[in-house]
Amino acid sequence: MSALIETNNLIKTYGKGEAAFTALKGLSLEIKEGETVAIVGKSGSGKSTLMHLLALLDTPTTGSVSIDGKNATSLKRRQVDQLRNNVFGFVFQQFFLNANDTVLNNVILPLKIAGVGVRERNKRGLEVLRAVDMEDKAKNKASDLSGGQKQRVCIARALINEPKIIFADEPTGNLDSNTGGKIEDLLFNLNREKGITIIFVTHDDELAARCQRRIYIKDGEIEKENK
Amino acid sequence: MNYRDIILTANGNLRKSKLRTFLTISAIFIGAFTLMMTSGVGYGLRSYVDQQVAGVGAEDALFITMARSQENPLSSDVKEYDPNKKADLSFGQLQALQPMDLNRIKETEHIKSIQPMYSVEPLYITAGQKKYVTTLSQALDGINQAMLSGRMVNEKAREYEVTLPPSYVNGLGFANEQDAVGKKVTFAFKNATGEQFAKDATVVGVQQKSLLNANAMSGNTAFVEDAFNKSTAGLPTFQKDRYLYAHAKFDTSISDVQLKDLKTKLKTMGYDAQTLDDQLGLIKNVINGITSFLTIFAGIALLAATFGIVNTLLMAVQERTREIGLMKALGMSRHKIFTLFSIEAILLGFWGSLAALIAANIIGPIANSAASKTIFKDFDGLHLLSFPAVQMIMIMLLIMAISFIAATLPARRASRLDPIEALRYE
Repeated sequence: MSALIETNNLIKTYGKGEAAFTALKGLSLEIKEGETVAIVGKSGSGKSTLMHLLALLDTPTTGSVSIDGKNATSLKRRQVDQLRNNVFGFVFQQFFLNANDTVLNNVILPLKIAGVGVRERNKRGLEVLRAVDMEDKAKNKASDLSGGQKQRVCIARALINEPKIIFADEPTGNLDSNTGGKIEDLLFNLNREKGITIIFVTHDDELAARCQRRIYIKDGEIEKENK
Repeated sequence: MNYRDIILTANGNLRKSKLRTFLTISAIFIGAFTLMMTSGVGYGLRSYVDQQVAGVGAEDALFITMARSQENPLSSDVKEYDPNKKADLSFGQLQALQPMDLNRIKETEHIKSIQPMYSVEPLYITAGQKKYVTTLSQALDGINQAMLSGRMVNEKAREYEVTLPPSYVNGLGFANEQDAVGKKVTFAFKNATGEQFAKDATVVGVQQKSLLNANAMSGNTAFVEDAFNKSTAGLPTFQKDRYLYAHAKFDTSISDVQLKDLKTKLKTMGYDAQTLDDQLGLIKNVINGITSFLTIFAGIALLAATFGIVNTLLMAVQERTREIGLMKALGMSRHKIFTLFSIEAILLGFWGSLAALIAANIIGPIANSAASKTIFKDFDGLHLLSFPAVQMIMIMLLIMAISFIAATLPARRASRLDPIEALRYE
C-alpha cells in the first residue's frame, strides 16, 4: 500500500520573536490508504495543529504535506479548497450542524459547495442518511436531534462526497459511552467496507486501541508509535 | 457553489433573521423611496415643460434684450459723467433697445429679420360691462399657441385681433369659449400726458392656458403697435422708441456651433440673445436645482441605510462565524464566501428598492390626483410624479450597487475568516 498522506519534517511556529511558540517540532509520518490512525495526545501537545496541517486547513511554517503523492503545500488556495471538498470528510466533536436547517440540507452542504445540482445531491443525501440509519429524519431540523443522531448526520455529511480520508476530531467526546461506541462502530465499518482512511484525533485510549496505528504526540514531537 | 445556490442561500439567510432583515430593508426602502419620489417630481415637471413647449414652433426665434449690466448694484464706486454714453433709458435694471440697436442686430450675419416687441400697459379690458385689469402681449409670428376655440391672431392682418386666456371668458360676459369668438372687446390705455384712450379689438380665439403666456392677452402686431404708438405719442423720439425686447429670426440652417457664435457675437455687441430653449432652460434649471436639493436628502437617507447594511452584515458575519468556518473547511473558496455575503447585501438592496418602487407606484397616482385638484390646479396636464420604467430600474440598480459596496467590508471579513479559529470550541 502506498502512502496516502506523507509529511516531511513539519514545523509549525506561532508568533514571532520572543513570543514565538513552536507547536510542531519537525514531524515526519506516513499514513497508508485504508488505515485507521489515532493521533493521541494531551491538550497542548500539538495534535490538533497536526490534524489541521494534515487536513490542509493550515500551512506549515516549514516542511511539507503530500496527499496522494502530490505536494499540497505548493498548491494554489483554490486547488486546496477543491482537495478538501473532494477528498476529505470531517467529523467534529461539536458536530457543527446548522441548527435551523433540515438534516438533509446539512448533509448535502459539501455537494452544494461543489456545485452539484439539486436533484443529484438530494438523492445522494438520502443515500448517505440511509447508510447511517437516519433516512427517516431527513426532513427534521438538525436542532431536534439527540447527540448521537447529530453525530450520525455529521458522519453522513462527511461521507457524501465519497472521501478517501475522514478526519474525526474527538468524534465521541460529546457522547455517552454507549452512543459513542455505536458511532465508533459506524466509522470502523466504513473503513472496513469502503476502505476509507480514518484519522482520529483523540485522548480516549479505548478509541485509540481500536485503531490499527496510534501515534502519540507530546510537546510537538512523536513520542511513540504503536501498531 | 453555483450562483443559483448562492442566491437561494443568501435569501434563505436573510429570512432566518427576519426582524433584522426587515429593519435593514426598511432603511433602504426610505432612501430608495425618497430618491424615486425626487426623480419622479423632477421628471414630472420637466416633461410638463417639454410638453408645453412641444408644438410651439419658433425654432428660429431669438429673444433679444440689452445685455444686463455687469455692475454690482451695491457698488459704491462713483463714476465720472461720459457725454458719449447712451442715455440710460432703462426698464428697471435692464436698458432699453433703440432703433439704432435693431439696425445693428439686423445687419449681423445669420439674422434674417428683427421686430421690436412693443410694451403696452392697458389700464383695463371690458366688453361693455365690468372692467378688468389685464396685461397685453404681442403675438409673435411663427410661434404657435394652442387654442380652446377660434384661431390664433393673424400677424399680417391690419384689423385689430386679440385672443383671451380662458379665465376672462366669464368675467367679460361671454357664455363660453365659443361664444367669445368674434366679439369685440375694448382696451383702455393712458398716453404720455396722462390722457386715457380706448381701442377696440376682435376676439378671434380663446387660448389654452400654458406656461408661456400665463394669463396675458395676446394681440396681433397691428393692434399692439398702434396702441404703443398712441400711448407714446408726444414723447421725444429717443424716449419713444425704446423696447424691452426684440424678436429676431435667424437662419435655421446654421449649426449649433454657429448659433452659439452668433449669440456670443451679439453678446460682445452688448445684447443678450436667447432662443426659446434657452428661456425654458432657466425654468429647467430651477427644476433641476430643486430636484438636486431633494436628491441630497435622498442621498443622506441612503447613506444612513448603507451604514445599516454594513452593520447588519457585520452582525451576520459575527453570528455565522461557525457556519462560515465550516463552509470554508468543507472547501468553499474565499471568493464564493465573499460573493455569498455580497449577494445578501444586493438582495437587501433589491427587496428594499422593489418595495419602494411598489409604494411609489401606489402613492404616485394618489399624490398626482390630489395635487392636480389643489396646489397645481392651474397647470393643465401636469403629472407631478412620473415614474418612467428606465429611470426606476436605474435607481434600483444604483441601490443594489450601493448595497454591494456596503457589503465589501463585512464580506471581506467573512472571506478571510480562518476556519480553524472559527471552529475552535470554547
